[in-house]
Amino acid sequence: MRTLFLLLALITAIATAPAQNSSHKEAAAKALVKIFDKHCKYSGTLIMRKEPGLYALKVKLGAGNKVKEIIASDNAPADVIGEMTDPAIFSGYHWEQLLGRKTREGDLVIMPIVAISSDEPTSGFSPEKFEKQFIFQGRKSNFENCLLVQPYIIRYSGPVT
Amino acid sequence: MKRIPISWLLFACCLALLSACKKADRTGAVDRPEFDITGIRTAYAQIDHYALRQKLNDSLFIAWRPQWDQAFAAADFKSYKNLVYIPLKGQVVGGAQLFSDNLQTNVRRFLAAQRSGNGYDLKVCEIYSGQDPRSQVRLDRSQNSVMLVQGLDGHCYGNFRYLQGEPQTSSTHTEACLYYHECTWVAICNGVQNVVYTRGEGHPSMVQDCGIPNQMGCGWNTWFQGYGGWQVYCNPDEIDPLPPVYTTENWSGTGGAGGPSNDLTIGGGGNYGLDTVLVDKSVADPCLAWATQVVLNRPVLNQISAMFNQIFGGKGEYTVVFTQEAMGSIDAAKTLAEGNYFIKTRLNSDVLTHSSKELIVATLVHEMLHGIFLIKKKLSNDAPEWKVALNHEMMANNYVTNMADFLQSIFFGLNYNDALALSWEGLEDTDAWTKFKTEHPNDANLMQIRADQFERNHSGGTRCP
Repeated sequence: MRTLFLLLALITAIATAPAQNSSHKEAAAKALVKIFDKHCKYSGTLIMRKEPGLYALKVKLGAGNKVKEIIASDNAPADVIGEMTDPAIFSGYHWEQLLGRKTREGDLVIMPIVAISSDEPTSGFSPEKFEKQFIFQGRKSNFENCLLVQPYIIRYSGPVT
Repeated sequence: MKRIPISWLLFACCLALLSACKKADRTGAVDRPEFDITGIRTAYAQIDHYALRQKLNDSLFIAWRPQWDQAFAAADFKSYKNLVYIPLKGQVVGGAQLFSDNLQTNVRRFLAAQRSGNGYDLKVCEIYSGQDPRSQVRLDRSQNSVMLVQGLDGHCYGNFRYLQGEPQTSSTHTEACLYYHECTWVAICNGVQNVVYTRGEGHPSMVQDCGIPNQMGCGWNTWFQGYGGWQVYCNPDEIDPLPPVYTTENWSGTGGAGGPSNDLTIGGGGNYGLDTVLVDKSVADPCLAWATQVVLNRPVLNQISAMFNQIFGGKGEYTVVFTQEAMGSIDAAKTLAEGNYFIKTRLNSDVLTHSSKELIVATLVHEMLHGIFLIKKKLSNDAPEWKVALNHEMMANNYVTNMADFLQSIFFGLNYNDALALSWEGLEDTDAWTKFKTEHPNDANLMQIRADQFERNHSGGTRCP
């Protein structure tokens, strides 16, 4: 009888694991968006020049849910990227939930960011911007094992005087 | 003599009645005088509106606003030089944000406009009962500025709620308080703010009892200048006088909460959560620092600050930051939505330093409205009416008088025309301004001259040391 209960518990756990995993990932994605909502800004100088932005963050993880380093792609605006590359903004964030497993040394998460004018969302993009979105520290890396998340879109407005 | 049947008599009576009614209609249509409301409004724009205000206490006063759409000609229109009445509606402004607009008075005020040369003479008249001014008004020309109404013999006080048509000295008022943590109920009895309650959010109800006005103390010829009603002010929980003057030296900003950039060391505080409204440490000019503190920290509450508070106060969902930057000599400030939940207002030190405090506060109020509009744009999923190109049109059409009220609630000595002129600053690109300038070029020119006096190269207004 005891063995039967154990077996039933095991079957239930296996059957519900994917659903739990999926709901955890959804919660992790929502939490990530909240962090971006709070900290992700676009350059006022570029907004005033009506230049949209395409860039990305590469988050290097380590074992034990640690953020080892955050690197911004080369075309990220320098005046606002300081806040986004500070690992402190992700403190308490559960990367395991996003990955669906424990973090390991060398795990990479790439987070694209798109900044567009809410009034003229299609203007100012060029092929070079798309290409440079994923160039980090001057190197074009064609193959890299990573988790690529959905782009975060900043819809900026202004300036108004 | 042949008898006429009764049915014939009845028929003849009906015909006579119909004919009389038609005649009366025609007479009314012919006799109804027409008046030049645009000319009267132009005359009104030129007078000192501040004189029409009644001070309630150190921080509150009643602004009497003309209800132009309810203007009517006096019964003795011709004999009194085309006399026209425009009802004035009292609204408590300043001090704290006005949440309800239900001032009930037993004084009915009217703007009386009489043709004089090419323009109009304007005076204020008062009626102390619910009687129709068209039949009761007699003008006392002995008064220079106030045209009192006579002929209401015996009634030294009117109805407490004249709209009800019967005296009522006790009333209950319920106010929804949905967005604010605390509200203050102010009962005004007979011109005196005599009851103040502070309660939490929800739908609380308050009762006031003003008592019966003292009829004995009010002789036959003395008008009882009473009014009563409810005003409800929300967040903060007290109505206080002008704030202390902050400078960067004596101002103890609590700082922090600016995120890891560690660049926002001076907290906005006041009505707003520290993570919501921030004044950057770059705002170092004493006058700019003073103005941001006065506008953000004190309970200067009116329609604009109510909206600002509703969006940026408490919830912590959006953040607005004020910075000081040198941006050349063209724009006084620039506001941008630099993130989905982040507004930055850059105050231009090249324009604002050494300007008057009035101009700086006017600029801040203007930029606060931009901040509100940018958030409304986001909340509406970029609805066309919130396009940034339409921000100034929206301000010019809907908020100029509110901006002027905001300024006067901080600078009590500021002339209303100056407050209006400052409120129009930066709105010269609007259709409303173009229309005003085309129709009243001299007035528009005067308004610009008034506003110029507050700028850095002039000496008008209050200057920082």
